[in-house]
Amino acid sequence: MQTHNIYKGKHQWVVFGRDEGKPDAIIDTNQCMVINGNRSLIIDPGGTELFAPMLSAVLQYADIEEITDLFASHQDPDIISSLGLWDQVLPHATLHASWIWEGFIRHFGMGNIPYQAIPDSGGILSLGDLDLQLVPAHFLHSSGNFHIYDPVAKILFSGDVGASLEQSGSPMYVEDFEKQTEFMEAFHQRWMPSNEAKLDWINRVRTLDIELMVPQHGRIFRREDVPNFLDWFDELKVGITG
Amino acid sequence: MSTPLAGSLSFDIFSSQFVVGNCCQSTITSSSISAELGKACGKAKKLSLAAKNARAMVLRVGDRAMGLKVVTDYFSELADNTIALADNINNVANNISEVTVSRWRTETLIEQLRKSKKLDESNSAFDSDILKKICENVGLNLKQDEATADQLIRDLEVELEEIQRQMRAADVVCVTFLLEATKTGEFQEILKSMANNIKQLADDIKAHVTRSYTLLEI
Repeated sequence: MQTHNIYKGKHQWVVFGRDEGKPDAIIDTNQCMVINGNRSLIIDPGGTELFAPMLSAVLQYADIEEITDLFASHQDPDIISSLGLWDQVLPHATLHASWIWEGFIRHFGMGNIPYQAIPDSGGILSLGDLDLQLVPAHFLHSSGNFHIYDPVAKILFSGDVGASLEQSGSPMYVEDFEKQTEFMEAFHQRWMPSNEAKLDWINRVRTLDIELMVPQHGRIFRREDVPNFLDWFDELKVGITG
Repeated sequence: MSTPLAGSLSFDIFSSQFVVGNCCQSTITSSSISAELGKACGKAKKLSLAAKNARAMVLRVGDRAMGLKVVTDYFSELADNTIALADNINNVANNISEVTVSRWRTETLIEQLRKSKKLDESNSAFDSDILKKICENVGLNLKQDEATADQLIRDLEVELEEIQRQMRAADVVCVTFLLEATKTGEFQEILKSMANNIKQLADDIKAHVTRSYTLLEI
């Protein structure tokens, strides 16, 4: 599991991904961790297949009792199917996810961890003295979907928006935006069902000051490529099978 | 939770002495037993109906079939007992399924924890008291589930033996039924047919229970 520390201030952002031990047949994913003092948040912890390397990786940044929050952008297995395992090892954690998925996500196994349902309008996830914004991203692609914006680090975790399907081991950052669109186009057209939802999200995100945009698959966008992405996404017709 | 296991054994899941079984197979086995006993329960309900029909026929035949009244009463009672027993056994088998699924999940977690620790032997996080305690509790949970499953399996064996005993008795009573049926004149064939039906149902129940036994041995 590769580890990239993408923000180091009073708190930290770490991205885990490009796991070398991952079976070839499963899609590569980026998992994020925000560490703020004795509180830590794991964003989209990943599937069961990734639990062992993820546990090993996160314990390098926080003790087990300091992992206090889990966030699932939506209900998919690559996002949160490891929940049944985290549930048995995290003594003080709460899961934050859309209210519409509570009865569904519990199928992964939630004997101990409480479910903090996020209303459709979003809200704030307080990690100690750090307030993270839960940004609505419904229908992008899931019908109950959220992203996370950190106004201090100016990082937007954008879930499946900005994702690209590339071969394993691709670089962590977008180097050539035009070339990157080749890996993003089909994914966004097929996985994103609603042009209306897309425009709503773009309008919301254009108001944010973003240094880094981190999707759950593929590469991280630096500040200069964020408006490029928003313009490209604005133009792209989605909800088609290609 | 207090447990007779706590404090007396080591639950170090990273130790080679801590053996993890194969609950995937156990889960399939207990679910298969539950399915077999569900079928046995269905047959017992048919047996109950067959016994009631036989009793009605015996009453219709009258004095010539007086010897069969006791037999059909017995079948009726036997069928009701069998239904109750099969229902109870089914509950036990379902409990075994639940415990083995819980064991399976815990075993998966132990496997993942071992992998995780192996990935970074230098990481001292696994030496922290709280994580050690969590891992120990995971080990304890597994051993508790194993003990519960063992007890449930012993309960199941006792109840399966009881149901087999009842079905063997049914076999013997079926022979008496057939003998008595020969004394009923024109009703002989229909009563024989009823007796054979009851015997067939008892044999079917025995077959399901025998298959359950075989699965338990696995």
